[in-house]
Amino acid sequence: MIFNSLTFLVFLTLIVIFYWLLPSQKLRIFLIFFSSLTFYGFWRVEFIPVMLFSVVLDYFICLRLEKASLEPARKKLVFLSLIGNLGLLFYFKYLIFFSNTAIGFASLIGIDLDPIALKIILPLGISFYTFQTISYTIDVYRRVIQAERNFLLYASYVTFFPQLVAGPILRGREVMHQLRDKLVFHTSDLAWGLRRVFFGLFLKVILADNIAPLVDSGFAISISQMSAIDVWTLSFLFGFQIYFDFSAYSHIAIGSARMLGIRFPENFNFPYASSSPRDFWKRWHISLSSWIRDYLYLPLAGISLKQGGNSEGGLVSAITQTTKDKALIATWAIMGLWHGANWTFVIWGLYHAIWIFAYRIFSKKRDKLNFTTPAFIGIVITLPIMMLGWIPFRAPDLETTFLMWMKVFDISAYSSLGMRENAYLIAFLLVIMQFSSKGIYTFSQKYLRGRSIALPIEFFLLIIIIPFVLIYLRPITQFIYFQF
Amino acid sequence: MHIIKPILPFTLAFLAAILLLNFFYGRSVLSAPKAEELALGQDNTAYFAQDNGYNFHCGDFLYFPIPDCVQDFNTIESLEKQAYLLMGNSQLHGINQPELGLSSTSEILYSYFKERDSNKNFLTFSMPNMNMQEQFLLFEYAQMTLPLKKLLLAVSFDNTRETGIREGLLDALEEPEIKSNLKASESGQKILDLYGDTSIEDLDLPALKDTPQKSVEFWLNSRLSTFWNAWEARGSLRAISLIKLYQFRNYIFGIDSSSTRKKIPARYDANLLALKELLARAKALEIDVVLYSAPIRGDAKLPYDLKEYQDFKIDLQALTVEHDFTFVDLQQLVPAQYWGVVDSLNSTSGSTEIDFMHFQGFGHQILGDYLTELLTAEGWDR
Repeated sequence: MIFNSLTFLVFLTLIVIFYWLLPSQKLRIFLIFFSSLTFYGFWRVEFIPVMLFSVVLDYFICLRLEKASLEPARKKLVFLSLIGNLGLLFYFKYLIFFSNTAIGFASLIGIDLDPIALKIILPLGISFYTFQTISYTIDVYRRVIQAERNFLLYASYVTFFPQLVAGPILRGREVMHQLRDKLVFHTSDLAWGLRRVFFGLFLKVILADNIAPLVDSGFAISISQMSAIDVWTLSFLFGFQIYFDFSAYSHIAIGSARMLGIRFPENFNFPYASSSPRDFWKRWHISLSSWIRDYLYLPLAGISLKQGGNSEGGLVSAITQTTKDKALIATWAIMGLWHGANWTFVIWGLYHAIWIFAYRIFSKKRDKLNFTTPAFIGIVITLPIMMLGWIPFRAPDLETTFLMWMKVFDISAYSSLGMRENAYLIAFLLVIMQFSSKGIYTFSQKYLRGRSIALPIEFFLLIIIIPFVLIYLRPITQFIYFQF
Repeated sequence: MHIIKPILPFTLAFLAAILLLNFFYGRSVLSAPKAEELALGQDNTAYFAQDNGYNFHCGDFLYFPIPDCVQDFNTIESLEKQAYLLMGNSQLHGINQPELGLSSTSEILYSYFKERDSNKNFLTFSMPNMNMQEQFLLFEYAQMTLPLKKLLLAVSFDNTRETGIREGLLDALEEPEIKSNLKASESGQKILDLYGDTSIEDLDLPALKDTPQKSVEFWLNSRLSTFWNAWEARGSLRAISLIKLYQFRNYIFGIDSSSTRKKIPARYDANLLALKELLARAKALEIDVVLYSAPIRGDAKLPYDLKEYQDFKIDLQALTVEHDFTFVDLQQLVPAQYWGVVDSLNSTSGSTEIDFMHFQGFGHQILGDYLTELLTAEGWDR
């Protein structure tokens, strides 16, 4: 089911009403599980078994894991989970990509192979729910959490409809205890959730969906007709489109869960106000960044975790810088590939790896020289770097990506404009809006929170947001992250 | 009270939002003129002439529907009947200051050829800002549904800034034969890639294609529309909100009808390619084509970059020469006194600006007379 639809609003209303009317938590979990399957089935019923396979596999593996005491046996079980989940992911997401790549390489060395005709549909949310089940198994292996015996509760955690399709990627310890406890209804949770849902819909149906045609027509222009200003404008426009689109999904997910009394961690924190590439990844898709760090980067770098099981618990580190750097590159390439089965996504990952690596070197030098850079300077430098990074994410192929990047460095390409005037104007206004919204948010948190003036201001904002959401609400585009 | 307080702002705002939508629906949608009239402004009238109920001038598939023109043409009982077609933008149906005389180019051409030979039926398809990709699609539709022999194409530099196929023409893509014909050309393939799978019913829910949610969403929307008019009119409300935003932009940046419209290279090329492929296809089908660059008001600074405008006409000339067709430049055909004004692009206060595109009935008379003379010289009356 798509959030930006009337169907979802009706669905959510019914679920919230029934959920709070049910007398026991057992029945509520039952409702969550079956409503989540219904939610998923509204896209395609035939892929529910694929999702349930991942759920069931890790449920039983974790029960066995807890009983197993010998390390080799425990490792085998974790390996089985990885094979099962990554196998699913490989088949549905990467089989065509790798077979085409292999055929391409073979032709380079003079072996002509016929392309394999495969028609594989990517199940919605597979990248998210497989990561969730993997992290659950690894957490049980690391003894961070205990294996859940109640299958329905565990299955509800994985398939919980607000986050099922595009996250936030939840850890077992963040959610399962909330599902287990009988929660008490608070109107404040309901109001907070409703605000987040409508704010998310506003970002999606008003902003992201109206920027999308500008981006689509811009990327349809042939490179020869594109100026350097067009490349910058398109990268900023797409940067804002994907931010509004994806953060909208997170707002709606977080808001919907809160209406059921369940709290999700935040997934975005003004990423375009980041003062460094590293800072950006602490603010963008936070649940994925921390997942990748805890379950991929740290193991690859050979860094073990202290009690607590994640990097917040502390790191035991005696690892060389070279190993860390190699792990960084590998992690980002894999992170890129997680987003999509295309070399453009690998390049996108490596682009970020390079900037994080460069920032590491810079910050070490800066610390040695004992000087500080004002945050504003950091933001002004980081923003265009992050925006240019979106080009491989949106461009159809590597050639287009590199040609667009090269335009930026071609001084002679700054003398013309190839798009409609509105595109430049909107990109400029979005940058202004981005910075002012951060300022307004900080101000409101500091001076308005808890004060009586907050209620009329909230009413005033809602009276702008709600009518526009109602007018523009229609499923004309899917969320961008649905394809991952 | 402490239980209600948190939810109070949202509840009140939601109720107020519903009242607001009803208010704007009553004020803006019910009282607003039809989209065609809205686009032309108060000083212009959309005039789609008829001959005693016989439709020979149509718009798109929604407004003065083209199938009506085709159907009426097919009622003519003659084995010799031929269709002549004029296609262009709103200049062909927009009459500035209609009180000075209601006459249109299409009416003049229709009457002239009908009087000479009742088998020669001049039809006109016109819609605001009709771009060349749309002309290409309509040409395919016309040659499939009519015994098309001659084509008179009106093109304007303004329309090279637009690309894509609008909602009003999507019905033409329902025809398998048209799809198959479009596939054979680069422009046609582009049109199919973008719009080949879109139907008007799906326009509001393309993201639900092939999902069980589609029928549920459709049902819920139609149920809600039956008892809440404002919900049904959301399309109009969206259009009005975008027009207000557009006027606000124009107000802030001082944009008016005489502001320079620069060429948008990619769109320009896409349009010229569509025109080129249209001409090639007409040549192959042995359909004669006359192309003219539409008249524009000449007593004020042109709203174009002069070099770009001249290059545009040179490009048109080259395309027609390449296909052995006729091109005429009618930029200065209609004298300044036969033009008028249009509603200001940047305010709702009722102020007006120079109208560069639509002339009075007498301007239509001049254009109609010129074209009849030209087409007669081309042998179209024989």
